[in-house]
Amino acid sequence: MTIAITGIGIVSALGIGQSANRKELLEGHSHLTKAHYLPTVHSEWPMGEVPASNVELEALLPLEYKQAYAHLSLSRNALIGAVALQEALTDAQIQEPSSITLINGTTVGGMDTTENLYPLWRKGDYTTLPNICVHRASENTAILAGLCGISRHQTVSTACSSALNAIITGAMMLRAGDVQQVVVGGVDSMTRVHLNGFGSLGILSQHICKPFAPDRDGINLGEGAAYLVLEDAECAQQRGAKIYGYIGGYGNVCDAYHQTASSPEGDGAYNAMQQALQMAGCQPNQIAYINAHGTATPNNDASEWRAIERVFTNTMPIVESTKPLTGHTTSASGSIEVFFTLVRMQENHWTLAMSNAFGFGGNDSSILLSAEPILLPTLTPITINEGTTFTSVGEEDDKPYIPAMQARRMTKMVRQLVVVVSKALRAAGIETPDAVVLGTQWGAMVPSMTLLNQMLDQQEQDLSPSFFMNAANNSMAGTIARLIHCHGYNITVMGSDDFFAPAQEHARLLLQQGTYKSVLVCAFDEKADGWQTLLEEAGCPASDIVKAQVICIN
Amino acid sequence: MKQQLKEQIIEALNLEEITPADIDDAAPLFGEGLGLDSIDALEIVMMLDKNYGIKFADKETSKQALASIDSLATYVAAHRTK
Repeated sequence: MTIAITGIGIVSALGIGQSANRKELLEGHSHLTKAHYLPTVHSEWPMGEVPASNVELEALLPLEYKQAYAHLSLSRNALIGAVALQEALTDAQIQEPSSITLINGTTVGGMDTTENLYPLWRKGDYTTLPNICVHRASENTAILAGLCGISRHQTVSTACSSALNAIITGAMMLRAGDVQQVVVGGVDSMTRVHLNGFGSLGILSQHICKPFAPDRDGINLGEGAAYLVLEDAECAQQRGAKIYGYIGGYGNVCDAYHQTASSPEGDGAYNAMQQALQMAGCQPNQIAYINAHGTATPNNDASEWRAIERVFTNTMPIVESTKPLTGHTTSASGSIEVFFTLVRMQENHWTLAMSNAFGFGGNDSSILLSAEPILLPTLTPITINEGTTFTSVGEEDDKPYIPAMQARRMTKMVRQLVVVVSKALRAAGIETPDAVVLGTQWGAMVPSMTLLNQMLDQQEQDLSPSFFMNAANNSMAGTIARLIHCHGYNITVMGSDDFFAPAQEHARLLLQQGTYKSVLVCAFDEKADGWQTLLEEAGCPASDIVKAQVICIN
Repeated sequence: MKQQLKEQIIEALNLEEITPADIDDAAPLFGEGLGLDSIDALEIVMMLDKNYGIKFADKETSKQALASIDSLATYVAAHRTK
């Protein structure tokens, strides 16, 4: 099968829509300024906000679908996402949005609404409490999709590589024959929580960031969204669709080194790029350009540069980071930068280029784009063997399973997860599986709520970095990969109510690709004090529960 | 002072199974010795600000001060504002 890109929608600090983004990219204009829309005390950190208010964004959306959400306060995340999604669908001439599946990558989800309304809920004012259910990233995706008439959707969350992993998920679904067309990408809006979180790690720059420069001193954050319509190239040709380019290969791996830092030799980045090249059957010297992750932290850029040197040795391509223009758009960066890569390819008549996106937790991904069709390996049918599922609701003695130095940063339910993972792996007779897939609904709620309370109580000052790095939805899957030394495929999928089934489904999809033989599948949910009371009031409570299972190819 | 710093570090970093006696005054706190990482360094810097009013001018200064309990005690004694 050959996968064609037949529609693109994009919203970033550079503007709304393809033409504004293309123009500003080609002219090299940075759009990083002091916070304008985000109500923060921090004026010292430049950021890349989308140049429109929530009201202005909402006005850009089709009227017919908005009415269904009149009872909710729509998150900026959903609005930015829906504007980009609508452009992608229109661009690809999708007549019936109800027939297409959306794979959405996000980490922030509905946090922007939560951080604005939670101070009221905390005081007992429940007027706006129905919005709390939308804090789940999957519910936020449902709204974003619904605003464009889409009813089938999935959400993946691997911090700053979320959008790229959404693209990879969509490509796997096409190859497996699950769908004929799929719309994929990611979105994140600015929030005070992640601004202060990155600030607590001391990695935000007070100047326009300088990726790969010797005097680089950190990240500027940004917000935005981009979505791509993917389909079988034959179908695209038959219906006379415009083709922007082809997906030639991709790699999703885990650095499994540290929660936030990249390994010194860039092992994760190296493996991700190598996998993408191998799948495409390309040699490093054929690649003209890389849109690097290039966040401008001393650690990321040193590690990524080392990995690029290891892959390309004496045939280095042009390496660029576009983050000084847009800021680091976190979960959206993967798809936004695929668009930028396609623009550069078209302008310079390059045939092959790559784009990288890496996330905390060691979630490193890379994609290879081609101006010419590339035939991806055909999949052969497999039979799947599902192992026993081990479950804990918090009753297991975790001490024998986790070294104290590791356990000190884990909440009770993360420790319980380690216990059930150990049991599932032992039952399957394997030490290290080929891949880790984790499903969750509320994510790491204990550190997230600690961070949110700290931020409000301390007026955005002196937040604890430990809570921030544990708060991302993918922190549990990253922790597991590190403990069991799993450097293979790693993803966190978001669900509501049933969040184990989507993870199992993703694991089966992964095994169908033929490159993986065993997948550790996990589920994670935890209650957080105070927050749980609100969830019960709203009728969408969390539970203390973890599950683990090994699924293999026979 | 050294004893107090050890207790405060153990509390700030949630080092459940470590006692002050386990931490050697001269041994490196990061990497080889106690095995702390960059996130722990940030937590210790916050703890020093809270308890002693210490604000480091740059990363190099904090790195030197945080090398061991010995170096930390010397730095805190000379620079504390509370």
